[in-house]
Amino acid sequence: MLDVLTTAIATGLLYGMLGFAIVVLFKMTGVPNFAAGSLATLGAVAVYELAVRHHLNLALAITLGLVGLGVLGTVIYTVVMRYRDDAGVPNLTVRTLGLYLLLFALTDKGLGEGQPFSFPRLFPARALTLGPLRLTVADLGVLAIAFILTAAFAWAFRFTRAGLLLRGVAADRETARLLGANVRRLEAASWALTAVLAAVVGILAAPTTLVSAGMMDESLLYVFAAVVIGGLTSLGGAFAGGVTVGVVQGFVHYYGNADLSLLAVFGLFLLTLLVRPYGMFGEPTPERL
Amino acid sequence: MLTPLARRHTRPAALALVAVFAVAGLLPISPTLQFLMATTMAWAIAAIGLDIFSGYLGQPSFGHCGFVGLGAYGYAILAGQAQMPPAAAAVCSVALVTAISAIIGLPFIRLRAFGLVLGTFFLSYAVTTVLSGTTFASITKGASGLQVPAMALGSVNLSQGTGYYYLCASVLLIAVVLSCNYSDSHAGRALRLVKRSETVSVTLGVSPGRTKLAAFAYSSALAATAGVVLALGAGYIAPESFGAQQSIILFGMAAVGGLGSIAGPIAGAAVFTLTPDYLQIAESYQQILFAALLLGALVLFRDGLFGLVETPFRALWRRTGLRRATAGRSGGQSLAGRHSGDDGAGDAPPDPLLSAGPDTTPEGVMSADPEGNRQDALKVDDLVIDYGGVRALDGAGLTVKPGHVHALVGPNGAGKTTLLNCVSGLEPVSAGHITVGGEPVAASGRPGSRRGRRPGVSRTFQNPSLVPDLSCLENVTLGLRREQRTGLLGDLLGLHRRAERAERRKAAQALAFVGVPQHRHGTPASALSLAEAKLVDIARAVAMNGSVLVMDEPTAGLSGAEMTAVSALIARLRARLTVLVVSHHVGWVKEVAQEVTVLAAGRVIASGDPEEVFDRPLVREVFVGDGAPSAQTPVPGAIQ
Repeated sequence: MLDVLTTAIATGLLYGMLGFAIVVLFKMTGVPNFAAGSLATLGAVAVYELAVRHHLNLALAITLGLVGLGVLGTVIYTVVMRYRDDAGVPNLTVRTLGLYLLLFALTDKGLGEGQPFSFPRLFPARALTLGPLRLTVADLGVLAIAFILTAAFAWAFRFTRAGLLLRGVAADRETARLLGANVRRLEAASWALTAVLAAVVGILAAPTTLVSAGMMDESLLYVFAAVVIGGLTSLGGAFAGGVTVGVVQGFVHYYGNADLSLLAVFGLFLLTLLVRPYGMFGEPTPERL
Repeated sequence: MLTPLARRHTRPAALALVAVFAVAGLLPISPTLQFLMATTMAWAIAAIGLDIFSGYLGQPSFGHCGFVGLGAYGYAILAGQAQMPPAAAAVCSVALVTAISAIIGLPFIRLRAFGLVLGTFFLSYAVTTVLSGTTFASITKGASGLQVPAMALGSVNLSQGTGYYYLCASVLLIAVVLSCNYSDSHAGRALRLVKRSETVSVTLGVSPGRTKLAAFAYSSALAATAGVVLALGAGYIAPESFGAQQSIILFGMAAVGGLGSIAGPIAGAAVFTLTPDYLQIAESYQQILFAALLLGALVLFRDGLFGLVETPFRALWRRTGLRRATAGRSGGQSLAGRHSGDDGAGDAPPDPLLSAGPDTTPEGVMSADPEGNRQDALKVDDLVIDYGGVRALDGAGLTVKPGHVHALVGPNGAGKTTLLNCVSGLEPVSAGHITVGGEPVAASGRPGSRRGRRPGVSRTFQNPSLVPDLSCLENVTLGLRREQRTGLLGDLLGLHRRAERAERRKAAQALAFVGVPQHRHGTPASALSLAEAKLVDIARAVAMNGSVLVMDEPTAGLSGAEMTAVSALIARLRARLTVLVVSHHVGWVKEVAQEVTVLAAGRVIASGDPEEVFDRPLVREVFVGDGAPSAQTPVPGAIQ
């Protein structure tokens, strides 16, 4: 029972982290990034390629993987998202869906036959016992990384100049541009940020999900449900939603089966949107007539 | 919005494509190619349905492959395990999926664009999960899939070869005819109206919810039909053929072909189905190609293949002068480019406006007779509206006498538009009463106080909220439908042609009355100048045939000459109906209005004859802002 809960919370935190990546980009550009799951997969695949197939040191492989994903994020922005970015949010959203297809097909091709592959362990396979509570080191590691990343981002958003600029663009793109912010460069930066954050999630998830082109497919749905439940524009809400979804999914899976857990989260997601069509913390934008 | 432009009259192009397929079937082509072309037609059926939902209604969906899958499974299960006759199984499967989609659609249509993308994406996963999962494995056979029973017509096998080919062609033909009827009828105009603005559609009596649900169910029905046809051809179905990725590809067919064109998605389906085979590429590269095609269409050619072909075609059309032949009937888009250039904003409309005499009043359109009615035309009492913590209206009321022009003035944030919204039914009334011609139309606690079109009230908007992808004339017909609620089914079957012609005549009269010249009737609303758009908006309100016309800032953004023209038009309207008008322009109000009500911070601070009211110190204070607001009229931040 408690085991299920701790694992569910750890999974939920992973959802929350990927949700965080989606929310950062959504705040900046108004685009929900459906390619976030593919970017996470790509992060895991990159590390797998370097560490397992090319026998690189794991820490070095992870560093290279994260840097590579950051570069890829910028490239994606420049090649796919930037051109005619006035086409409207629906068009840009569908572009991220196209990216999802493209990245999936490319990773599938790159990984080749024999998927899924096993991924090297990141944390020692030990568990700590605190009375009735049994915590695996891997879960604790996820918890620590989630905490450190959130704290770092919260600090950076509040106290650095780059953070101020990003918040400025998020609040009002046009005004920020008029005040001299280089909006496109900031958007490129937030794409890089999203890609790196996604890669972190992919690498953390890979030991349990194993490496395949579709390893994050189902998670992506849970992540989006988390983001919507937590409020599309709330960074903390992404984590709150992530843990909620993780717990619901974990328990339904434990007492029912995997199909039911997807349907349960789907129901939760629909319910949230029906009660609050703009997300839990979202605000409706009035129409000028 | 996925596409700003949903085209009209695409029937010839779509039928031409179907004809190409029909003729190709007669040629000696290889069985492989024949099968691929049949599959193309089957996918085209689903893509056309998605076009109605995404192109015409402007709502994205990435779950329609779920309905394709349900249709296919429905047929396989009903004709297989349930042993129904194949034809009955096909019809039942489509009907069942349509019913399911209408139920699923109820929450979905309430979602905003992003929620809908996500919800439908989720849906396609949920469908494959259910189909491949263990819960229903006894019926669906889980991941291993199902055999599909064949269908035959007499001795012709409809599941393979030429029989299958022409089954696909006939079903596609039906889908094309129905969808073209849909897009060119009242129901199709309602789709574009809802895409433009749900608020405006409420004032015009078009229910956004019902319109969206109908389009969702229609597109799902076509998806399910495609599913049945695809299953017949394949002979074997498995859940993974109907997943989220295939849903994105289905959207890709519509987007690459060109959303909002009916014909485009057919071409798009051909691109996605035939290219991999033509290029002889391996399966693993196929997905990469599809993704690249979709991204290319989204980034580079937003109008898709249809747009690529359309542009040179229209240029040719214009040059050969064929345009003239059709201009009188409905007009082509080609008028846009020609006229928006040489009619400078405003010099075209005022002329006919001033010359048109009162005798041009369209009797068929306007039958209200305010003078015969001794009741107050409009009476608003003690209206209170709260927006969260802000009280927008605080016990405001006014009385408009029949045949009068009553102006509503006040500083920004005084609650003028809120009051108009209450009168025109956009804002539910929580406290207070509104009567039109003596009839109570809204009071707190009454069902009539909900959002909805108010009987007897017509409305124009500050920013003329015309539907950009419809012509002036079609925009005005949207105001006409009032009592005659014709079903979607009639529109689909094209049963309302006569009623449509009558509507066009009435709309033309209303346009002539406000002074829009005949040669502009077919121009798309997106190509109008602001002054013209305001006139068309007024014509649409006139066509609504209310006894009270409610106008929000009819002169904002207009030049002096154009304002004079609007005054003249309002003077002529006065002979037929009562006008409540909001304006910022004190001089213009003095010119047109018999009475004025001044609103500040949600309260009425003065009411009466314009000349006298504007001289009152209190009113001058609110408008000019000399001195601090007095204690009786707290207007925080309202004075500019």
